[in-house]
Parts: sequence; structure tokens; C-alpha cells
Amino acid sequence: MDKTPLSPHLQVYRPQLTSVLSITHRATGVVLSVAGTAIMLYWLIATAFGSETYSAAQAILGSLPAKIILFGWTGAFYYHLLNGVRHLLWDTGWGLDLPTAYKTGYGVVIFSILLSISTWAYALQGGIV
Amino acid sequence: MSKLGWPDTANTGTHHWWWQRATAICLIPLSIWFVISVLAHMNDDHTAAVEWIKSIPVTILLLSFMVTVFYHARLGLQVIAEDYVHDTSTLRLILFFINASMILGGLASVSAIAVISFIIP
Repeated sequence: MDKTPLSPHLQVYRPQLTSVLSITHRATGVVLSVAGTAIMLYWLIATAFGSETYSAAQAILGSLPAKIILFGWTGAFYYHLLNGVRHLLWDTGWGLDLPTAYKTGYGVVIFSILLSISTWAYALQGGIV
Repeated sequence: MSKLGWPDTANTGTHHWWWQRATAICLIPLSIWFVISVLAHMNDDHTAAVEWIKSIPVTILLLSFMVTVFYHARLGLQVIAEDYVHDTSTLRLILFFINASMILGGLASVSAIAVISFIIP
């Protein structure tokens, strides 16, 4: 036998808010780890190489498709941040009962949407992007 | 677990769990600072962006953010791989790839910040 123990297969369970939020935490984590760090690195390296590469990066990151991706990034970021705080509270023993877990779950979803929209509203209105 | 040729997780498991939480707590203020700062500096030209990164608190915060974020990402990706990849040799390969890419990413970001802060006039 050369196999490690596995997590339950996701597709055999009826999706519930709690399980969907849990898998979303992992999914947003992967997105932030892979795409988020790639964008950050690209911007930093372009800045390190000088003003020409910097301007090129600014133009690419300011384009409409990039803005849509960055909006998605903002959503993934706020979700992972807020749900991460939810996880840390669980680690202290708080909020583990089902009614509270549902309340904080809905809270995480609502606030990550509100924060993403207000961040971009602020940026667009202030002429930042 | 040792029968599988897999390291004993009795200690590394706790260690992993603890560092995942420690980096998570550090990332709460660091990531909020990062997003607000990037938003504020989105329209900077190269000179302004370099000047911003060069200031000592920003250099320190950016370096801390990058190191913490890459370590946190590495730990998180590792858990996901361990949960869903069944075959030990595939898992080893994936874990190697996760470690290598996160170390390279971390080093690249730290070097880029160092170049901006110390080399660009």
C-alpha cells in the first residue's frame, strides 16, 4: 500500500452553506497563492527593471481585462481575509455552534461583496483606476 | 504513516498548524496595508513608485508581507495537496513543485524589492 489517507470526496455530499464556504476558502487561497502572487511579482519585477518595463506593466494592469481580473482578485482577497478571521475565531473555540457558523458564514459572503464593490467604487470615483 | 515512507506527522503536523495560524494573524494587518497602499499608488509614475518603495517603513512592510504571504501560501497549498492527492509519489512531486515555486516566488519578490530600494538611484 502506497497511499495516504484522503479527505472525503466533495461530490458525494449535498452542498451546504458551511461546506461550500469551506471549499471556497481553499479555492480563493489557491487563486491568491497562484494568480495573486504572480501579479504582485510581475509588478515588482517590472518596477525593478526600470521605467520602461514599469510603464508597460502599468498599461497592461490598467487594461479592461486586467481590471476584471483584479476585481476578481479583490473579491477573493476579502473573502479569504474575512473567512480566515472566522477560522481563527473557531480556533479559539468561538462560533462553532451551527446557528453562529451560519450567521458568520452569511456575514463573510455579504461583507466580502460589499467591500469589493466599495473598494472599486472608491478607486473608480477617485480616478485611481 | 512511516510504513508509507511518509515522515512522521506527530510533530510536523502541529508545527504546520501553528505556523499557518501565526502567518494568518500577521497577514491581517499586512494584507490590509498592502491593498490600501497599492490602491493609493496605482497611478504613480516610475519615479514616484520607486520613491515610495524606497522609504524605510515601506521597504520593511513590503518585505514582511512578501515573506509571510509566500510562506502562508506554501503551507495552505500543502494542506490541499495532502487532502486530495492519493498517490504518494504524485503527492511528493506536487509538494516539491509547491515548495520550489513558493521559495522562488519569495526570493524573486525579495530581490525585486532589494533592487528597487538599494540599487535604483
